[in-house]
Amino acid sequence: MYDMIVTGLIALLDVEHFAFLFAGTMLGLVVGILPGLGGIAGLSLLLPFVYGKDPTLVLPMMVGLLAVTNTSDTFPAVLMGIPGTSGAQATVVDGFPLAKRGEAARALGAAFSASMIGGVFGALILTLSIYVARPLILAVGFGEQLMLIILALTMVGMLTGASAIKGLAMCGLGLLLGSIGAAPATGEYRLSFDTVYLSDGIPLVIVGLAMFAVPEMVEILRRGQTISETAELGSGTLRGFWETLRHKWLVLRCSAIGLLIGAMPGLGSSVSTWIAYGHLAQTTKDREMLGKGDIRGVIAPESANNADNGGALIPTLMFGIPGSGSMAVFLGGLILIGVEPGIGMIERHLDLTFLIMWSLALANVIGTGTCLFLAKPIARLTLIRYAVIAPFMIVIIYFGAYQATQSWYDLLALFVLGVLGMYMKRFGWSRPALLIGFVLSMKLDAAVYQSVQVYGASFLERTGVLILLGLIVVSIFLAARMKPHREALTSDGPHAPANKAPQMIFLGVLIACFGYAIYDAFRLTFLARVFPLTVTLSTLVLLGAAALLSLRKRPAYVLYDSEREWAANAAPQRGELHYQAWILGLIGATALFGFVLGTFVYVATFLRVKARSAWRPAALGGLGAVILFALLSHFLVLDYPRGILQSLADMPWPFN
Amino acid sequence: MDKVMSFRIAACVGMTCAIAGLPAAEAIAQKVDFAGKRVEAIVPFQPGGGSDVYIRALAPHLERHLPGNPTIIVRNVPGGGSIPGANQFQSRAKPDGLNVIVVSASTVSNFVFQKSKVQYDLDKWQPVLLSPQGAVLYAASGLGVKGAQEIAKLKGQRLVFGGGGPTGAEMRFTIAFELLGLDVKYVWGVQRGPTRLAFERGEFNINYDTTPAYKKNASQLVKAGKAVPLFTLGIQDEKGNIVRDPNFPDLPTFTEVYERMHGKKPSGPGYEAWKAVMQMNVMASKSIFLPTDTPRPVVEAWRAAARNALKDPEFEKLAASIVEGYPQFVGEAARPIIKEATTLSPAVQDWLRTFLKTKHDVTY
Repeated sequence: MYDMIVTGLIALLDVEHFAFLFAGTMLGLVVGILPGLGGIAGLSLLLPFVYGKDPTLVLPMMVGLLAVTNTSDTFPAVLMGIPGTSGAQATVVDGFPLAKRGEAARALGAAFSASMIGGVFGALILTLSIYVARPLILAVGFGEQLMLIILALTMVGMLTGASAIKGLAMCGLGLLLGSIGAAPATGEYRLSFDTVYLSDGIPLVIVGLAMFAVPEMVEILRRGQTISETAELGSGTLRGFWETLRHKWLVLRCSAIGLLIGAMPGLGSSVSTWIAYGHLAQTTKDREMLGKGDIRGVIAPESANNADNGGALIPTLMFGIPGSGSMAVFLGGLILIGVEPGIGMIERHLDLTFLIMWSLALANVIGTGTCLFLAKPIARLTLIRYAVIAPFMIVIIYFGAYQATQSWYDLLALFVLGVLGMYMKRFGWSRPALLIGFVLSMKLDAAVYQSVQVYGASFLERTGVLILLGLIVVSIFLAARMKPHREALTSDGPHAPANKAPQMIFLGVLIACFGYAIYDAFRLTFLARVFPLTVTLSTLVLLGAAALLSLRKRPAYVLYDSEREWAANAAPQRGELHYQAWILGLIGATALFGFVLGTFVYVATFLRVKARSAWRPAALGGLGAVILFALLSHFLVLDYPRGILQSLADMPWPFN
Repeated sequence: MDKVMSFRIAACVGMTCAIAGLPAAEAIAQKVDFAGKRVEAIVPFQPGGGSDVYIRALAPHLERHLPGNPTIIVRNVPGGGSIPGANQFQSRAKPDGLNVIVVSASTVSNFVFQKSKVQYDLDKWQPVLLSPQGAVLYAASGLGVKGAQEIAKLKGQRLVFGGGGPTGAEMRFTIAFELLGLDVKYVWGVQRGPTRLAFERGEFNINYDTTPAYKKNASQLVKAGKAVPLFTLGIQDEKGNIVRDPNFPDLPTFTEVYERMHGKKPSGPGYEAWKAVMQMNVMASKSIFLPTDTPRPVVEAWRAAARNALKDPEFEKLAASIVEGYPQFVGEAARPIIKEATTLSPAVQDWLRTFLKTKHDVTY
């Protein structure tokens, strides 16, 4: 076995193999940066080329690609507040405030080094685990899965923000939004309004973009400045690198979390990163800066999301069961090259198994090296006037959203949820809590039903369940004891009981939505409605409490309006709806001209009107966006939304 | 008079044109040429899934045998049980031979059961190739059954079976259990791979896998003495009889098991319902279609390419495992199967409706 480990490494270091690994890694970095594209899109780009090729060449390329999408997704997360993949959502929480403070390079340095350590750790454990992982995975039955999901859900307790009631209510909203689509027990459609689009539920990528990218974008546009509030980029990449090393235990703990969660089929980096973040909040005493630009808030999720791949490979290789969406494509790729993963993979293809592990480790090093090298120059983006960057960001996130299901509804869903996210940010409703609820919703519903169906109540007698139950209790205890860091209550601060109308309207709309959910639930059979109904009723209790507390005439944490935080002389001229209207403009332009041509019109107009560029550079900017989308459409075989123009006339590529 | 004349002239001109048109059509037949073109294959599923792997493995061989050797590119339009992808193909695909769609069992069963959301005319599309895919049922050895001959021993035992949902691909087994009179507890919302994991953990004690997954994984469990194969669904031969699965000639089919259990040939709406569902999920497992109005010569060019690709030794070497030794149906041969899978008699529909309502509390 040991000689095989060494042979695997030597094989990879020959020029041809290394070139394939390198090419895959570079491609992975590119698709990771683009929001909405990730391992799935990248790997499907490779699939046409892998067929019938030598597995020892193709495998490093595919693994290289998979390994680093969660590395480069940090660029947009930290610099723009846009999660590049769903594994980067938690990174936004502290990464983006760091960029706003002018410390983007430091944040990136820390994130990339944490990614690398996590990734190599994942590869290492994967190697060590190949003989012990089987019984371990087989020990996790339906009951244990349920407990793991509940444990993940308790992390919400650390992320509720200033008002615990509002945070928990948002988790409820996330659970409700996540329950849209076919009920696991009966296949009945919940809250789908009889559309095909909602029968699969709302795509995660859209919820992620709506919760983070859109609200941040609107805020900076209103501020009318650069992303970085200081004109100088502070201390750089190296400092971040050292900080990661200083927090080595945090890195290792979070890597272990990423690996374990990744190894559970169905749970992936969209869950593990939040658990890692919650774990950080639980285990640290000084939470003052968490959520406002704490470097550890970047290190924790980034260590987890790269270790995730090592974990996800375990069920993929050993059981032939994909540990994540991109692993499903990887599995398809393996079948195409004639490698049959599953029981006995290690006996049949031990050499290839080690090749995969080495590729994973090396790709992490290559990917991180490249990103670290680029961090400082790319961080300069935060010094450019945001009005110049914004139109490109808007078209890119809408591009990303459309890749979710290639439907016009993707664009509308992003817009509607984007408005929700914006008001949640303004009125202090926790967006991480919503996301955690959202990603866990269907899994929770399914796991409760499946555990009860298989075991009845006796699943509580299983050892694994009891151990996890203990952890859940500890986690809830920690959350209950936590005192979030929050501003003092003053009669003129953001928590003041002045001009409450906008907040109360928002609260009212939420209550109305939950009211509708009750109505919808009563059409369903018991098994399909028990979950959404429980969630809805509990959330309505929380919302009712929030409403009562809000009605009192004194400052309270349940009240919050960030509009009161603008300094008197710096209040923006334009309200947030002004910029939402501008975002809507892209949807309008797309409806008329189709996405590619609409993008040209939109970017050029935005640059001309909002950034006050001359027409010529504005048009050049639009052209740049068109070229980008044309290239993407050609190489990734992507399709773009069509407009009225396309239905009237046949347009030449790429405008069709 | 004038009018009649002009009519006659028009008729003459028309006739001449029609006659002149005949050789023209012939010429088109010879001139089908995709040189330098890109063929777009719509896969209404995620990349990496069964349908995706199917077309990607076939594509290079089809490319080699299509006139002009076009490049086939795959475009995945995932989600919605393949309804959105198929709807999109219906509304957008031009009948020029440069647009094909990969159809799977769920595209077919949604066509039957989700009529309100379906906007595609699956039964009118032009079939190119249809590839069946069998499945094997196996039970935990702890149940004390050594094989299909002892299947009666399962009666009265508490069987736990998991899968996607009561109206999905599992129906080919749930109906079979019903017809055999087995007492099964169903656990839904579990994907195919994880059901095998749950079987290995002992949480489920009866499970199935499609042929490739069975050969790769479940057969190892059989070897280790943890599982016992019971029966296959069999496949349908050209005469419409259900015969043993060529991959598992030693395993009886469900039909045989039914006969042994009840001492008579299966019949009645319940069995007809099972057969329709079996057509959807086994016989029409994977297929390739061209749009409805694709000109005859173009359709024939595709069918010839499929026929030749399957015979190609190169295909044998690289991709034979994709079709797993099942008989392949090229062109019109596929049509009766699609027709049987998509036209359910009222009696069968009633039976299914009652079955789903009483056993699974699902209304369709």
